[in-house]
Amino acid sequence: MAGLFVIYLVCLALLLWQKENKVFALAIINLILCFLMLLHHATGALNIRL
Amino acid sequence: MVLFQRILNLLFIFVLCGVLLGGYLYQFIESLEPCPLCFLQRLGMIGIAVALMMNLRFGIKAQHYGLAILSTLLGYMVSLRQISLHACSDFPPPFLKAVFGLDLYVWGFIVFTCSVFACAVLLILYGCSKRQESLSWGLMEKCAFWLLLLVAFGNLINTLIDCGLTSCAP
Repeated sequence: MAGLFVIYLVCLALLLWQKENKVFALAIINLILCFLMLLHHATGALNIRL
Repeated sequence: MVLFQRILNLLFIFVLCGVLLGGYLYQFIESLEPCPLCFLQRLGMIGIAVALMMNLRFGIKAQHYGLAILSTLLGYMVSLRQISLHACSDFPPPFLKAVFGLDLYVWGFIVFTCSVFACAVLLILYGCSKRQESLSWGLMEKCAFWLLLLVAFGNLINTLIDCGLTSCAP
């Protein structure tokens, strides 16, 4: 989970250096990871309840 | 028109930072530990703010708003999941105290609803404007950037303390 925040911090750092494509790509990758994390949470909760 | 959009973007970032700081302060005042879904909602808000900051840094573009809407969708799904978890009768009751009669994850849902509405309005304004803008940062843009960086860093420390390097699994 902490890694997801680190990626956004890297995005903000790259923003200062004006690397638009890299910021965009990293933000998209981070979003995908966040969705996977949500999926992980959902399936984890399902296992507990089953 | 472009200046107006930049001001709206800036205002939007300050509101999101305010919400994140509010949640952060509330957590310390009430001595509460945020759940994994709370962290994911915060990530959604930071994602929206990063996308809007890209507008201020690289010029206003539709793909930046697209990124903001995707982040909103993430936060939306997470807050809906949390609401549905607590709506189930066999799940433990909400662990957070209510703010103005609503739980924090319901406020999260409201923030994401307003965010998607704001992104839609900004996209409509973007379609109406002529593209001539200066990309230099003023004092307020710099303040927004450093505030966002501070909020993201604070949340990183918070996550490391609560979950370490694990995935914060339920």
